[in-house]
Amino acid sequence: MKQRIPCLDSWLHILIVLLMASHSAVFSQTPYHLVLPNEVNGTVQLNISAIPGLNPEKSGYEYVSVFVQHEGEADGSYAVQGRHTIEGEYLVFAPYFPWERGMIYVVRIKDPDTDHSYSYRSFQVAKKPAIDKAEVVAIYPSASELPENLLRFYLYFNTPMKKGQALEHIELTDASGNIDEHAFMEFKQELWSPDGKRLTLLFDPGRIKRGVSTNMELGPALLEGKRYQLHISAAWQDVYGQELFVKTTKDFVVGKAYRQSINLQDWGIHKPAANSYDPLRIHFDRIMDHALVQSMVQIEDGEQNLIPGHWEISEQEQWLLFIPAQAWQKGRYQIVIDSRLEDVAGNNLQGLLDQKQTKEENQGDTRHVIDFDI
Amino acid sequence: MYMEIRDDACVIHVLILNERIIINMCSMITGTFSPNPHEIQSLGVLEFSEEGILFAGDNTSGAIHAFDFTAESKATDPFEIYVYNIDAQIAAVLGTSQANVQINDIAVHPKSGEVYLSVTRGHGMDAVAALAKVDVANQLHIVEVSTLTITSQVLNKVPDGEKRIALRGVAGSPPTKKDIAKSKWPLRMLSIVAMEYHQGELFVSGISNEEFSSVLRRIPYPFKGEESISKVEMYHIVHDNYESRAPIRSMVVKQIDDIDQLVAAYTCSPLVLIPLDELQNEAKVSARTIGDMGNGQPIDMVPFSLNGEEMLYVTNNSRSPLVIPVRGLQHAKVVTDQDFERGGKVDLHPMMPFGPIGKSIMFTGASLRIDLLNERQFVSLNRDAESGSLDLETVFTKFPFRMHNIIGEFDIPR
Repeated sequence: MKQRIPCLDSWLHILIVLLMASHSAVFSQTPYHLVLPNEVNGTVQLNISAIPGLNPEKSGYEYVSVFVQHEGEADGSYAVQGRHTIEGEYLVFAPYFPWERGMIYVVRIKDPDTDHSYSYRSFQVAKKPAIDKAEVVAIYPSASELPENLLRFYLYFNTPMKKGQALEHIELTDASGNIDEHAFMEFKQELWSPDGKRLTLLFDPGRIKRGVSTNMELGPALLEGKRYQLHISAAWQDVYGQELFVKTTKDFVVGKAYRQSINLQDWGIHKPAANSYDPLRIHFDRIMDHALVQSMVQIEDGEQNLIPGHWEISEQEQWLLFIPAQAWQKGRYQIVIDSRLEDVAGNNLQGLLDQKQTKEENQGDTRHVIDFDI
Repeated sequence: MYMEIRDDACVIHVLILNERIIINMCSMITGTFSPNPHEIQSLGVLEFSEEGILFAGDNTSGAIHAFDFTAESKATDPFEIYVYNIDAQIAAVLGTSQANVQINDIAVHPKSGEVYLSVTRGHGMDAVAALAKVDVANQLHIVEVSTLTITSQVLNKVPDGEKRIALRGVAGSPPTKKDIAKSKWPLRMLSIVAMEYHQGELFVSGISNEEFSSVLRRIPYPFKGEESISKVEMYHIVHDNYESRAPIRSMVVKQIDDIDQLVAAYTCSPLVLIPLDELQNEAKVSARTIGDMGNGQPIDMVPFSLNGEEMLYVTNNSRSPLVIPVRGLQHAKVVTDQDFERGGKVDLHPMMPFGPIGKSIMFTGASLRIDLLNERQFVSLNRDAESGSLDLETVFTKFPFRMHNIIGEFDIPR
C-alpha cells in the first residue's frame, strides 16, 4: 500500500496547522469533520456522511492515510498500516501499533467533494515525562479483614522497583507496633512480575503450615481477632533511583482461617438478561486470589467456544464481573474454572494448601464447569 | 510433603522434609490453562516447514510460536524481490522512525515465495514484536497476527532474565562502548539461536540455564508440550578447547554417511556433525568436528543446488560466505585435540581454514540474513557496502552480486 505524499510546499501548510493544533483534537473549519488522536491508542476518525456507500476494506486508505513526517524529502513513503472501519458516520483508522509519543504524523484526507484533491492535517501524541513517579498503586487483597492463614500480598507499583531489597522495606507489625521479623519468606530471587511492577509477598509457608518446625517455634504470623499493619517504607527506590517518598500502610484485622477447599456450590451466580450487555456477576464465599482469578475463569457457549469480553474484580475480591463484548444471546453458557484457582490462603479446587495432593497426583481434570442458561 | 504456591507467572515448589521447608524456586508456568497462544513478546529466528507453518523464536517469553500460513498458494509467475532501505519502509508502516526498527530474521514461504520478516519496534521495555512480509509485487505488509491460527510451546530450562553476557575486550585492549552494551544482554536472548524443521520435528539450538549451557532441543510438531533437551559439546580447533557453553549458530539436517545428521556451525567457526539418533532427552552429545571455517560468526546455512550438486551456503557476519559441497562432508575425518599442536590458532595460522569447508566466495555487501528464493536465486537482507543502506534484494546463487556498487571496464562506454 505504497502511496505518494506531496512534499515541500505542503509542509509549510502542515507546520501552520501544527501550530494551530497543539492539543485540541477536532477540526471542523473545513467541509469535513476530523477527529485526531491525543493518546497512543487513539484513532483517526473522518466524518463520511457526505460519502455514501464507502467500503472501508477497499477505499479506506484512499480517504484517510497517515504518514510519519520525515525531515526533508517525503516522497514515495508507505502509509502507516492498520484497520479501517466504519463506525456510525465516521471512517475510523486504527494503526496496528500504537502511535509513538513525540512523533509527528501527517493525515492525508481525500476531500469528499472533489475526486483528486487532498488536504493534510498533522498531529502528535505528547511526550510523557521521561519517567513516571514511583508510588504504591495497590495492595491486594484489598479487604480489611483477612483470614488467619493468608498466604500472600500483591504489591503493585507505578514504576519497576529495585529488586533484592523488598524485605528491607516491608514490615509487618502487630497492634502494639512489634515487628515480626520472620513473617515473610526470604528468597534469593524475589517474586516480581516481568515488568518489575508487582511483587508477590509470601508469608513464610512454615508459619502457616501446621506441624512444621517454624510454625511450632514462632507460631503463626497472623492470629485471629488481632489487628496488624503492613508497612512499605518511603525510602524504597525504583530502578531509576526515585524513592517512593511516602510511607504506605495497610491496616487489617485477622478473621477465621480458610480451612475448606473451594466449592463451586458456594458461589452465587447472578445471570444477566438476554440481549443486554449486563455483567454476569459471580459472588465468592471468600476472598479470592487477585492475580489468579483474572486468568483462571472464562466463559464459553454451549459448544465450548470462548465468549469474548472483559473481567472486573470488585468489592474486595469477592465479586467477579464478566462484561461480554457482544450482547448476551439466549442459550446455554458455561463458567469454566481452572481447578488451580486459589483463594487468598492458597486453597484451590483440588484441596487445601497444606493438604494438597502431590504434584504427580494432581494431573487430573483441570476444568470445572458451572452451567447457566439465559 | 510437597506443595505448590503459585501466582499467574510462576510456581514455587515447596518440599517439607523432616519438618523443615526446602524451597525449589520459582519455575515459569508452562501448561497455561488459557486456550489462547502464549503471549508473543518478541519474534526472532524464523523457520518455515515445507507445508508453510512459520516457526518464530520468542526469547523474551521463552517460547516458540507456530503461525499457520499453509493456505498460501504457489506463485504463478517468477518474481524477484527488491526493497531498498527496508528498515525505513518498515518504520513507515509501523508509524515509527528507522532507528526504532530492528529486523531479526527473514524466511521465504516455501510455496508463495513471499518473504516474512521478524521485527522489533522500539527498544528496551517499550520493544514490541511485529511480523512483516514482502509480497511478490514487492509490497510491504504488516501481518495482522491476531487473525492467524497460532500455537505455542513454552521451553523448559530457559535462562532467567538476570544473568548477562561476560564483558571482555580483545587482545589486551579494554572493552569498547559496544562491548559494554553487549555485556548487558541477558543470556536469555540466546535461548533460541537457530531452528531447523525436519520431518515433523523442530530442532532448536540455544543455551539453557545450566552450566553446560549449549543445548539442542527436539520438539515434535504439532506442539504437544513435549521437548527433549540434549547437551552438546565439541572440540573447537581455533581455541584448542572442548567447549560446551556457546550455542550452535546455524544448522541443517542432511544425510551424511547414510544417516540423518545435523550439519552445524559455531562461532569462530567450527563445522560439526551430530547424528539425530543421539539427540535424546538429557543426553550429553559429543559433536564430530570435521572442519573450521576460520574466525567470525556464522549467520545462516542454506541448502541449495549448484549445477545439480547439493551445496550449503554459509553466511558469516565477519567474512565472505562459503559454498560447501555436501559431498565433501561424506566420510569426512573427525578430528580431536590429538590431531593438532597445542595452542590457539587464528586465521593466519597455516592450518586455517581447515577441513571440507568448501570455497569462500564474493558477495554483494554484507548479508545479514539470507534464504533461498527459488532454484536460481537467494533473497538476502544486505547491508550495502557503499551507502550503508539496508536492502532486501535478490541475488543469483551462481553469481551473488549486483552491479550498482562497482565501476569496471564494462561500465565505461567504448
